[in-house]
Amino acid sequence: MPKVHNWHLGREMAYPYAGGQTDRQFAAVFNINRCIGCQTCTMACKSTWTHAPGQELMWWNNVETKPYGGYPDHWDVQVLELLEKANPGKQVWDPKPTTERKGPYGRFEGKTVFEAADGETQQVLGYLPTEDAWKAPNAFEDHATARPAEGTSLPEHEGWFFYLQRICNHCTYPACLAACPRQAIYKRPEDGIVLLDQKRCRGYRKCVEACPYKKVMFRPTTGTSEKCIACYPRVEGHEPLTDGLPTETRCMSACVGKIRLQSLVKTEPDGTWTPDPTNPIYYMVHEEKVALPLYPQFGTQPNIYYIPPRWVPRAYLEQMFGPGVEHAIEAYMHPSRRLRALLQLFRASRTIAFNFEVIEGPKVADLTVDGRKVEIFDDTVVGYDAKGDEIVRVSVQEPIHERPTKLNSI
Amino acid sequence: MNDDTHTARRPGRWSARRASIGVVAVAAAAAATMQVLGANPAASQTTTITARRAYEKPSLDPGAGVWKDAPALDVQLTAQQTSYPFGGGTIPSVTAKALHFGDRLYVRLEWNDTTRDASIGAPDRFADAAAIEFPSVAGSTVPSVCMGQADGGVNIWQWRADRENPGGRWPQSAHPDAYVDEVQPFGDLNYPAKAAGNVMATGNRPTQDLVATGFSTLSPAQRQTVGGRGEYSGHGAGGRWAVVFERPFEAADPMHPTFAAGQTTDIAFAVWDGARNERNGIKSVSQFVKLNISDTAQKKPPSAAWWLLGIPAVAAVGAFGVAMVRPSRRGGGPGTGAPALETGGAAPAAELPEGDEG
Repeated sequence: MPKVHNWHLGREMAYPYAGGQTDRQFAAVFNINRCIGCQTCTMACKSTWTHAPGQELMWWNNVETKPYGGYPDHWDVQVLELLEKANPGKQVWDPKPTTERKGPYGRFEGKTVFEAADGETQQVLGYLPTEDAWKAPNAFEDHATARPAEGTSLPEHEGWFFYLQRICNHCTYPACLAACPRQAIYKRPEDGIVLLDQKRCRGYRKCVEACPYKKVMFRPTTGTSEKCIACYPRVEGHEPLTDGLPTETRCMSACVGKIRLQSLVKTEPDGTWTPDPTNPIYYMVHEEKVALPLYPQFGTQPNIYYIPPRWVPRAYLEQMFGPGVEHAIEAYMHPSRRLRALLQLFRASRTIAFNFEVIEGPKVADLTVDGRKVEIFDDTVVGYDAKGDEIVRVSVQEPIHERPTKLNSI
Repeated sequence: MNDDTHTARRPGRWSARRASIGVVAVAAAAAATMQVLGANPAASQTTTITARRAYEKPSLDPGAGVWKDAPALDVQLTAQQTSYPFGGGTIPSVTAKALHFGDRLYVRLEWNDTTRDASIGAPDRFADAAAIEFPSVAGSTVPSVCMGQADGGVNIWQWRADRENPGGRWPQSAHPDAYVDEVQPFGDLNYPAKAAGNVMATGNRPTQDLVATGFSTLSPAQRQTVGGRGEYSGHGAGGRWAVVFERPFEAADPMHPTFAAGQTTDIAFAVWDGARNERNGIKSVSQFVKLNISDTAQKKPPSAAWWLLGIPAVAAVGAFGVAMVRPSRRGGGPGTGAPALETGGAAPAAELPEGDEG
């Protein structure tokens, strides 16, 4: 089996196919701290792509309440358990964060879903969820771990929950693609979007079994599996509202809580990202390391990155996002001027921002946060589209508009 | 062989002749009975399925009378262990028969399966299925039985239980109270696999006509000309599937074999047990056996009138035979009914009872 470099793990790993490079890679940052669990993203996706007979159990986008919720039920716990059984006591990290692009979170010493598989019945360690497991996508909504008697406070809440927003990760090393016995799943070279060929699929569900994030779903009425397509017609620029420019997906565009920002990053032959500090996703993932991959230890090199919720016990977050959690929360709670400005770009435009620029503004406040002095500057972030034209500019301080005393003739 | 035995025993000439006549008569009666009942004790010892010209159109009904006396071959199946994903081997054998009629080939498979799995209405349910494989060029050098190879394609006919079960692909059949949004403004675009022309989603036949030139290359034939129908009978340990496939002799795809009477080609089988989540490579498979598309016609079975006349006639011939054998037995010669049956062509000489010696 070929070896590929997985920079999330800081090491090479076995994967059935060589490569990992695409011209660009679809990627996004989800800021968990901002999510209000309104499910607008979920419904935007559902009403666009999965509203037909046979798709009843299908939610390409879902928002689940952690730690108890999951769609399908307990998907992550089940995959973690399979891996632990396959490699007991050794699913551990050597957390030596470096600034290297090839291993920013240290080195994962355990086995990935590819390395733990038997190679005969499974190319990828996984399981096929039961029908019942798909039926309650919002089970345990808003269930906290405890109700503290006297309130609670940072850094770790005594009773806690958080929303986890999930779509297909359009992984650099997709487990679904690795598992398909007839190569019906492919990763597009132009944007790294992982698609399931509806003409070739024969409904074997090896992909459903393999995807550790359980983001491929079976559709009985066609006898084939379907998955998130990253709204590729929009990413290709076919959305009439944006004049042929690459446009963010429906779930991103619809986000009420302004938690999502999507872009496309450039990649190297080994699957690492080409340094591009003016790309908003590259900047947050590699320069600030404020956004982390979901369950990087699975080994698929997922491309949705999360700013972890700052109130959740660190051990839980480290299991979910790897060893970079402490740094990411610190970077988010005490952001640099540049990051604070960039955070304003979330949901400022549905046109994909390929690059950004920060124009420094005057100091507008001196605050104390967690006992630390913080200076707030009214910097402005400017987003640029695929052609390099400005699409939006937003300042840290929201402009105040005073309504005239006499607004109209009434 | 029996001549030697007889010689060794030195029976009297008349005694020997009587015994021989008796043996032949009993054998004839037994053979006639077996012919009528459709039993063929020799079938399992060959690796050839003979497809005779049927006396009437077989239809797709697996229970059609025309199948009764078609020669059967029990074909052993084993787990698929050549290519990922390995598995299967849970169905030990399949009974295969074949006929042809009006330049169409009919193949009937029957196998034991304790459950009827005819729905994929839930994401964790798989359907029972069976398939037949032919070399793309009939009678050519045998390609790899495992989906063929680059220079030797195969034609595969697959029958799937879910495709002939009206509710087999609808979650609503399992969950009648489930709410389904019926507003479907985009027609087939609501079913991308259908819009893409995927044979999994199109058509209403329970069978798919597929071609392949190696692993991962399975594709639909240009035209779907294979028909078929399955029927499940019994339950539990006595449960059985019987499936009939049919296709015109004439090829409808460059990778279809063209069949003809008088031709011998290769044929292999696969069976999937949906209850065990079998699909894809997880299946029970056979090696290639021979299919002889015979120029000879299938004998029409006796009519009711034959039965009225025939049963007494067979009985009389049998009784005559027994009567002829008995005196020689008293005289120490060979011959119970058993060796006579074996002389009729079923069993090797080594199995002749020793006790009658001397």
